[in-house]
Amino acid sequence: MISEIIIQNAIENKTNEFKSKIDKFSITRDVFNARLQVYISETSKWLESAVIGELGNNTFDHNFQFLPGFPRGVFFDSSFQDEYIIIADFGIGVLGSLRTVYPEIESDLEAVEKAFTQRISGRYPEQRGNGLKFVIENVQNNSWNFFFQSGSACCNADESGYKFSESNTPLSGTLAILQFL
Amino acid sequence: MHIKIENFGDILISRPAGKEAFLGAKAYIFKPIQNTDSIVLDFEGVKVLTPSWADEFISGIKNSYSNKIEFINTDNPSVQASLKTVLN
Repeated sequence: MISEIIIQNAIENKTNEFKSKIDKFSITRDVFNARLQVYISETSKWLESAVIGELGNNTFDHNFQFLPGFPRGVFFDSSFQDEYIIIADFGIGVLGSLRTVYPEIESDLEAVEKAFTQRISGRYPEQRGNGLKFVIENVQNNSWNFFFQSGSACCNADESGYKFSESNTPLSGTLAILQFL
Repeated sequence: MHIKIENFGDILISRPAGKEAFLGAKAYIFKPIQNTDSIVLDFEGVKVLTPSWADEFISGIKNSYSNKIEFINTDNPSVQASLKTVLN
């Protein structure tokens, strides 16, 4: 599991809009993918890069506007505390995305659980919704560590499996932390 | 029909790029295909493949053609994992 200290540090950074690392926001998909290509060329981490690519591109697949006054696009830091990957945004979050087509979803927790365990997408009827399952499956298969939060819903995953929980500190948009071991 | 996926790039990440690759292939590569031909997707040289890119490309083929699809040179871990996600 990602340690609570790292999670709290990342949340604090996100709450402060990553102001000390504002240059790590990619305003468009092209910029993000170019930065990911640099990461790939520097690390040759093929599968890890696919996971990062899925998470980062989600920002642009599901957000066409961002919270007013907050940075646009996706934040991508490949060396947070030296060994963690942070991917975050100030978009509509998982509940905001899924509610557009599944209004019966009542909470962040229900939305995040469905997003990680079912083939479901805010862009229905397009046949999408595999990305987060791909992420969580490869985290487990490769003994990586993963934390995700959107609104008040959290998902923690490692080689032993994954679990969902609720946080007392809701976050706008999404925050993902990856540790590749 | 043998398709070298590397011709679309060796880092295949986004859904829009996968869709564009399929539309390009439909216009220029699949035109002469016969119903009896297999479509062989060759992943040699591909470094990073995501399920989003693969889904757009493979679903595009499945929705437009009834030909059998084969997958070769899938040793890269991101290719293996993405195909597993998309084909299951």
